[in-house]
Amino acid sequence: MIKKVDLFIAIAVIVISLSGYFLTGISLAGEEKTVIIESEGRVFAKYPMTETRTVDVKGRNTVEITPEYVRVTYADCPDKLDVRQGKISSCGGIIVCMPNKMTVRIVGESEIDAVSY
Amino acid sequence: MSRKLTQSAIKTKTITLSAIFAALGACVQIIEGYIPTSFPLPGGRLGLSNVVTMVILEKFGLKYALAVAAVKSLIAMLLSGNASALPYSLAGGIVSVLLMALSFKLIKGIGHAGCGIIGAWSSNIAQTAVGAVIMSNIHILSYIWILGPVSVVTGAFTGILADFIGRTLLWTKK
Repeated sequence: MIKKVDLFIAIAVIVISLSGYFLTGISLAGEEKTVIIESEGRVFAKYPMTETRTVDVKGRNTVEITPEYVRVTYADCPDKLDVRQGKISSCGGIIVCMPNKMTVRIVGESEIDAVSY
Repeated sequence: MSRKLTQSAIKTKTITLSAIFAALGACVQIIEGYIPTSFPLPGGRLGLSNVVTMVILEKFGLKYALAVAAVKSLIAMLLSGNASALPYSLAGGIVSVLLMALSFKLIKGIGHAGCGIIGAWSSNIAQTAVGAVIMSNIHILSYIWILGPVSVVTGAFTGILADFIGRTLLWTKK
């Protein structure tokens, strides 16, 4: 049954996991997101989604990257579907500008969306 | 001659009982998989099949417990048809048996609850590590801190259960 040593083990496990949780500081949602901008089939630029920046893609598109979202703010194409699409924020999100052959997508460290077992 | 016969009889009885327990563990593992849990994380299960390996470890020793853990995982995989769960359950079962045997030897005065807690947490850590390797994502390892307090509850429960079941087992090798 439950002995004194067992209580010590229980407390030790709880203390270790709590301190480990706070010390390592790896949050569960702490997956780094990367924004990949491709132009004409080639990778134009890669940025981590951690700070705000504005990227000019060959003078034809302007991409705004912030920690919360990514969007296309300017396009010189006639339909401007990429600007109208608005913001993407999660892994797997993609904005495409067909006339300029440009894509903007967000990828996580892993290529997997979800796992079940 | 008669002594040799009894020894082989002991061996036969041990192997037979181990096989029965392995089958029981596989059944428990599959049935537990059908129970829906409201707990959002993997590993938030009771780990009832750990009871079986713990009883075997206590009564028959490390060798039989390792065999039971491996056979149990294989049978459960074959019966449920969920092959992707095999590396998780195999790693969890074997690592927990090894650590429980170690804690029985090293920590003086350890009871069943403490042993169960160590077994539950080590099996959860092993499964998380396997998951991190399979998904090649190191961030998954941060689950082990959350699984610690969970393992305290589930491990204490399975440990006490193993104690009860072990007492009803009249014949032991030792």
